[in-house]
Amino acid sequence: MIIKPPKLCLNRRGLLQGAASIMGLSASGANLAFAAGPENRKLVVIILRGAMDGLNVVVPHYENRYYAKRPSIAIMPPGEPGGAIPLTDGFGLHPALPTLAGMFKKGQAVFMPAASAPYNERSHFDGQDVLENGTESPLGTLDGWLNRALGALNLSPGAVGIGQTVPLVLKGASNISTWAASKIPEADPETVEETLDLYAFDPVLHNALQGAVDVGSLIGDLNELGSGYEQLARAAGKLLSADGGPGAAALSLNGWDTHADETSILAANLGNLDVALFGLREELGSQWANTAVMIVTEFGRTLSENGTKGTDHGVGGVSFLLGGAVKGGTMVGDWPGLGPTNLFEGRDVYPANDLRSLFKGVLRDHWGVDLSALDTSVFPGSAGIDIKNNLIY
Amino acid sequence: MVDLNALTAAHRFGLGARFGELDTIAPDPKTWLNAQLTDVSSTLDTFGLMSSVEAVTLFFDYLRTKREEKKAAAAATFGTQSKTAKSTNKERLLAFASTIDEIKSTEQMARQSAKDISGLAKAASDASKAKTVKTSQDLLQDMYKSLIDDVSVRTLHATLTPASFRERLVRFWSDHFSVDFDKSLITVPTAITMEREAIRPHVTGKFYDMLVAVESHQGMLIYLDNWTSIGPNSWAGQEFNLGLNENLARETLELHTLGVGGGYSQDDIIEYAKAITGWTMGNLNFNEDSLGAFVYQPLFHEPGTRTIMGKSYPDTGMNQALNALQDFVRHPSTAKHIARKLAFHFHSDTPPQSLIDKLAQVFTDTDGDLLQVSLALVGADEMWDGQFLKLRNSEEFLLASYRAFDLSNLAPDETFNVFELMGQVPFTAGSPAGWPDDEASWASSSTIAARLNLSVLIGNLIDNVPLPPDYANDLVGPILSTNSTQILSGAFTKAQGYALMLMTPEMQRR
Repeated sequence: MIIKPPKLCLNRRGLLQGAASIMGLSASGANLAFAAGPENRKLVVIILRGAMDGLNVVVPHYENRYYAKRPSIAIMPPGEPGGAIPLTDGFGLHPALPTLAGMFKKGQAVFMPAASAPYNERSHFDGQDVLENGTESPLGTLDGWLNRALGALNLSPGAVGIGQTVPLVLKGASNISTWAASKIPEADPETVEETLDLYAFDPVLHNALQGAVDVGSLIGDLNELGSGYEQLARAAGKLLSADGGPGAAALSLNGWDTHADETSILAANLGNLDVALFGLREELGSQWANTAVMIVTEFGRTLSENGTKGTDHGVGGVSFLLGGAVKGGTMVGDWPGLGPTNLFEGRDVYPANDLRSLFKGVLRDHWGVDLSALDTSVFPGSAGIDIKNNLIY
Repeated sequence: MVDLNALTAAHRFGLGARFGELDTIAPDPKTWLNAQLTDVSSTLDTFGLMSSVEAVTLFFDYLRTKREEKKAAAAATFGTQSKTAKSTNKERLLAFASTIDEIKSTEQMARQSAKDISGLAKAASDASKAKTVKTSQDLLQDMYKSLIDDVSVRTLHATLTPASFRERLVRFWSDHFSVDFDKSLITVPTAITMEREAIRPHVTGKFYDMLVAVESHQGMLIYLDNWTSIGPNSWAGQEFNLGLNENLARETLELHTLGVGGGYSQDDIIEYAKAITGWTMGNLNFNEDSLGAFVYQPLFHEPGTRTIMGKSYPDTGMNQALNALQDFVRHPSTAKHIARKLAFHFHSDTPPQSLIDKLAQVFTDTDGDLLQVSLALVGADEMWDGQFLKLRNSEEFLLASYRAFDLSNLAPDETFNVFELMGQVPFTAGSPAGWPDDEASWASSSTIAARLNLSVLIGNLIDNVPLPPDYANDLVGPILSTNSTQILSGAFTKAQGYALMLMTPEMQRR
C-alpha cells in the first residue's frame, strides 16, 4: 500500500477502519510460490537496540509539526543543506544512509513507518522482549519467534546469532549457532575434539562447541571484516553465503538510545549502519538476490525533542525491509500523521502498523512458513492481525 | 571426607574452590558460609583507589582543562577577552546547560576497546604521574587508569578471598543495580566506584539502605541521568527548562524494586521522577563547594504533592522520594522480585517455587534485612539438593579458573583484556537490567569457544602442581564424572589437561 500522507491523517478510530478496508489481498491467498520451503532463501534480522528515532530516519518532511516540535534536531527537507534524501509521498531518508537510499531507488527496500511491536509501555527491556518473543507480553514466551519459525519448517535451514550471546529472537528449541570475533589464538583441533568428548553427556555444551567449530570453518580471515557494525554484518553475509551455511542470521546493533545530543550520535550510528549494509550485500554476493533483511527496533521516540537535544522513549518507530528478494521502492503500512489528536497519548507516533504483520508476511512469502503456524505457534494469538502482502519476489 | 555439601558451599554459593579449599569447608559447610555473612574481615583493599568525589572531580578537572586549552588556543588567535563572572542563579543555570552539552559531546569518546583503554591507562602510569600541571589528555588517561585499577583490584580480591560467598553476593547486588562505565566519558571514572561505596557496605545490611545509597550515588545519578533532571515547575524549570528525565525513576521501579508488572503505571513513573528531581551532585555551576558529592538541590526540585500508586507524598524536599522508596521496599512485589532473582541466580534457571516463597517471606518479615535473607538462602534445603545445573556466566567462569590456580599475578591491563575476550567486561552489561542470568544466553557457540581458547592459554601457564585428574579431584571431586576423569587422564600434555579440566561440565556449571 502506497502512503499518501495528506489523505491518511486519520484519527485512531478511522485509522483502524482504514487499515481493515484498504487491505486488498486476503491473508491466505497471496504469494505461496515458495511454500515448498526456504531452500536457498536467506533471512537476516537486525535489531537496533536502544530504540532508534524513526522520525529522524524516515523523515516526514511534509509535516510542519515535525519541525515545530524539533527545533534543533530535525532533519531538513530534501534540497536544503544536510537535508533528507527524497523518498516518496512527503518522506525523506536521513542523509547518512546513501546505500540504503540506493536500494530504495533500485526497488530493493521498503520502509514501514509508525511501526511497533504490540507493546506501548516504553521500557527498552520489555519492548525488546516483546519484539523478539513474538507475543503481546514481555513474559509471553521465553523463546523467540525466529526460532519458532525455524521449527515450523519441515527442514530447518539453521540460523546463526552474531555476537557473544544469543539474542532472544533466536532462543528456543531449534538448534542455532553463534559467532563472535575471537581475539586469542584458537585451540588446536585435538583439544577441541577432547573437549567435545567431555560434553558427551552435556548436550547443551556439546551443541554450543560443535556450533563454534562449524561456524569457525566458514568465516575465514577475520581481518577482512572491518570493525563494529560492519564486522557483524560482513560476518553474517559470509556465513549465510557459504556452502552449507545457515538460512538465517540475527544480529544486534547497540547504541540507539539518543536521549541527548541526538544529531551527532544518530548520524554516526546511521553512517555505520549504512557501511554495514553495503558490506552485508557485498559478502552475500549472488545470494543477495535470495535475501530479505528486516531491520527493526523496539519502539520509536517522542515527537518533541527534550531539554538535552535528544528524544525520549516513545511508541511508533520505523522498520526497514530490504534485499534482492524484496519488492521495494515503496512505503508500506498506514501513516497516522503527527497532528495533536493523532499522536499516541499526545506525545508519540501512533503505532499504526504491528511489526508482526511485516514478520508474518515475510516468513510466509519468503520462507513459505505455514499460515496456521504463523497464527498460532510463531506469533501466538495473532490470527486477527493483517499480513503485509506483496513484499517478496 | 569431602562431600557434596562442601562442593555446594564452594561452587554454588561461592566463586569456586581454590586448591585444597574443599578440605577446609568440609567439616561444616553452613558455618563456613554463615561466618562470611557476619565476619567482614576479608574486605577489599581499596588503597590507592579513587572515591566517587575524587572521580567526579577528576572528570570536571578534565572538562575545565579542556576549556582552558581551547580558550588559550583562541586567545593566541584573537587576543584575550575580559572574563564574565557567572554570579546570578540564572547565569549559573545557563552555564549548567552548556556544561551538560559539553559533557554530552564527549559521549562517543567513552567507547574504547580494552586495548585502547589499556594503552591510555599505561600512559597515565608512565608519563603524567610526575607532572604538576596536567593537560586534558593526561587527565583522560588518569580516568582510564582509575577504571583499570578498580577492575583489577576487585578481580584480584575475588580470586584470593576466602569469603567467596560474600563476594558472590557483592556481584549479585552490583548487577542488580547495574551501571555502565562506557555510556559516556563521565561514567568512565564514576560508574565503578558505586559498588565499593554503595553496595559493599550494605551487602548484609538493610535493602532500604543499599537502595538509598545507590539511588543517591553519583554513579547511578550520572548513569541514569537524574543529576540533570529538572522539575518543570521548579525554579530552574521555570527559568530555563532542561527537562524532566524519567530514566532513573523507571528503572528504580522496574528493575531495582517492584519489578516489571509489579503494580505501577507510566503515571507513577513520572510522579516518582518528579519526586527525585533535585537529587544531583556538586558540579561546576551549582554547589561547587561540594564538587562531586551528592547534594539535594531545591532549585531543581518539582514542588507539590506527588501521588504514586495511589498514595500521596507531600513535598518534604528530599524526604519526599525517601518516603516513596521506603514504601517501594515494603511493597509485596519487591520481596517477590528480589526473591525470584536470588533463587534464579543461586539455584538454577528453574528454581523451586518453595525457595522463592521462603526468601520472599524472610524479606517481608525482616523489612528487607539482607543478612537474614542471605542466611535463609544458606538455610534452605533446596540449595543443598546436590544439583549443579547453573551454567557459570563468563566472569564467574573466569574467577573460578583464576581461583583454581591462584592466578593472582596478572597485570591490571591483562585482567582487563581477558574480560573483553570473554565478552563480559565488568560494568558494561549495556543495560540497567544487568547481565543475562540464564543458560541460553551463556551457552552460545562463541562464548564456549572463547572459554576454550582462554583455558588453553591458562593451561600453558600452569606448572608444578598435581596432575590434571588429581587436581580436578581436589576442586570438584564429589561430582567428577568417570568420563571427565578418563579424558583428563588421557591428555597429551599437562597443559592440555589443565585446559580440559577448566572446560569440564563440572567446572562450567555450579
